[in-house]
Amino acid sequence: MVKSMNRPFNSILFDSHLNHRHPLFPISWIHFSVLRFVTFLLVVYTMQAPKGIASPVPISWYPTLSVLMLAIGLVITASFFIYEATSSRRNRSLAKELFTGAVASIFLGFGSLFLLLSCGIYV
Amino acid sequence: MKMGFRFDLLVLAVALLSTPALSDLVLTRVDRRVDLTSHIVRITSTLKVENTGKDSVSEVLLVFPERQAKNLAYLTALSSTGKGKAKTAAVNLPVKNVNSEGMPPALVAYSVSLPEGGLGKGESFTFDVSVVFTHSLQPFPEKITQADTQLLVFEESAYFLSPYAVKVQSLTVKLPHPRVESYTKLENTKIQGSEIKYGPYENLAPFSYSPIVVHFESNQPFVVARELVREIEVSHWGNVQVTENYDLVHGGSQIKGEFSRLDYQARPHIRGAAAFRNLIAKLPPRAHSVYYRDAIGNISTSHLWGDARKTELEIEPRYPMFGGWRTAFTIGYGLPLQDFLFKSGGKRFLNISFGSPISEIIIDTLIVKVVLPEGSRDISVSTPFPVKQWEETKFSHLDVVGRPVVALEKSKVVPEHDQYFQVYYKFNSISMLREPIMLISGFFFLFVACIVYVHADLSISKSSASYLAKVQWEEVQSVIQQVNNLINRCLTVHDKLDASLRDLSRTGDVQACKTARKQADGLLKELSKELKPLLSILQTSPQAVQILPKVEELVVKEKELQDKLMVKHTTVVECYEKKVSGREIENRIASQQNKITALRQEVDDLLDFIDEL
Repeated sequence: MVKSMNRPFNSILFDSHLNHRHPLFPISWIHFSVLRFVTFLLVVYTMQAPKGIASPVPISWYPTLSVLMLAIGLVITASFFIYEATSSRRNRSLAKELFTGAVASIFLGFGSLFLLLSCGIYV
Repeated sequence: MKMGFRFDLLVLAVALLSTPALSDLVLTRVDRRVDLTSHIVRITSTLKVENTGKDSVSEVLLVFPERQAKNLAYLTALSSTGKGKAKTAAVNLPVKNVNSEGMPPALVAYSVSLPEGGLGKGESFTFDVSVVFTHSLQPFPEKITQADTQLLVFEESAYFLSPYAVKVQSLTVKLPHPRVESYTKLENTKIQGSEIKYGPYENLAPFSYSPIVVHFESNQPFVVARELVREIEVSHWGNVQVTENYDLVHGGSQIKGEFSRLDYQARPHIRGAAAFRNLIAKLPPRAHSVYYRDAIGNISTSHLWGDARKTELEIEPRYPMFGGWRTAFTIGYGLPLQDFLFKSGGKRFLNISFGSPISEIIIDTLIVKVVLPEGSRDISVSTPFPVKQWEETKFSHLDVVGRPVVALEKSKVVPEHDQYFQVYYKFNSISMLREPIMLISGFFFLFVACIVYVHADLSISKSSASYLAKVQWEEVQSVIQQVNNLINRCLTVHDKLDASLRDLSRTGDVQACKTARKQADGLLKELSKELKPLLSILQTSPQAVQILPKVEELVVKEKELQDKLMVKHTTVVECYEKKVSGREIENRIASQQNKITALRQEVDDLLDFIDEL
């Protein structure tokens, strides 16, 4: 196997405005795909092992979370509208309305975000 | 051959200049292998250089004629230790373009830096040089019919063009088929199968040049992308979306005459040997949501299969590609974020391949655009070869100020350029909440609009009869709601009393029962006190005329129910104290119970009736 590194991986900062020829990965055209993969593995596992960044919420949860949050949000929206319809002008309390609206909008907001993500629109 | 004429002139010019050797290096052995099996020309040369002078030398010059250097796409030098096939450690040698004074002007020179210490007196050093040329195979004849096979012309020099003297050298030209139309026959030339060997030639002066021309048959797919725009969009919610827009042309002999679909479909290898029908793209593993479409719509002639190391996509354009024909399409796919985005130090970086995943493609202009999420700062790029770079902004989903885009451009890209490059940037994780907060505030705005609408009083005249009537009716409604609430609370107290009776029958605790009754009593008295002012309001209001009798009836019935329940409760408790049997108790309160249930039913009916108003 051809050894491919003589420079630390992440100390490379290439000045592309200077006209240097500076190939860092010696690649013979016969083995380039294998070398590319091995180079990447070497970098990831032997150097500082940079950690892969993943989404804060596991992707497999997106559809479940979206259905759950939208359902809860819609239930709270329904209760908001029922309160609006059945209460008379004097009995209405603004604080209760705003609170119900805020909680409903939080759940609906997160639910619609996860809905967009689970449909493949990675916003 | 007529084509050799220009090269003879070059030889003459070079010979006339007769420059002295640039330094005291001598190439003791040069072995060159020209690979013409694909439309991309790859020349691998193994050079053994020896220092015959006194001073240590730190660089070796490689020269190319200007015409050839114009098509040069990739040049790399590796040093190899070990003999023959046992290459143990290959160290990459930096190569740079130089302008040297002692050089004929029609040549372009590159300098290979030797490893530390240079080459001392008498030492020798072996290294490999790989050069890749694009558009170096000229189709001849330039136009062919559908049934013809493609013939290409390749021009090279049998002697290695170098500013140093060469002791021993050889050249091997590898062709895709054993069929050669013609080739220049110099001394020591032989053809073995599909390889033409020139050499060995000994003791040649610097800058010696002997042009050779090989005219051979090749039906390899001549895939040339005139422009490729690769857009790589990073989303921190877990996806890297790559969209590639291709503008492809068949770069071989142009087709003349007509295209017969019937002939092509019946015998594709005879009528259409120079065409290519499909392309294979090797995508990274775990690629998902792959699509292949063009301006018309989706193209369904594609196949996808994947394993743990790669995902292979085979695509067929809408028509077979003959010489000179063009097609444009888009390939898109999504990749999992954790395979490509990493965190190191305080920065995040995206590590992804630069070139196209399609195999054996020449790209005349490649533009890679990396779209980073909104809120990314301090963006820097690190590539293994020089590229032209600039920044743009893109407006995408849920964007306020737009996403920063780093665009990299490179011309003459060959598969050797398909290496990993990195884009570094800083991103605050809290900024990810910007998107849900935007959606939440959108929904909240809707709710606030509803509240405002309901609270708004849009009547024009505040003293008209209908407006006053409406206001009074709303008051009556609120009072009735309050009455409703109170009656419901009374009913719950009744239920509690019943529950205490059931507890009594289960546990026999008379004292607890009595305390429950006292509590219930107290509560009911309070509730009736609250009811009184509400009833008086209803009596005074003119709008409540219709509903007042029903409400009064409800209150009266509820009072009756209360009294009857109390009586029943006391009788049951007394019976328990006297230790009367269960059946006796039931007999005594049977009639009471019937009346209670009937009353309860009526109260419930009245409540429903009032609710409906």
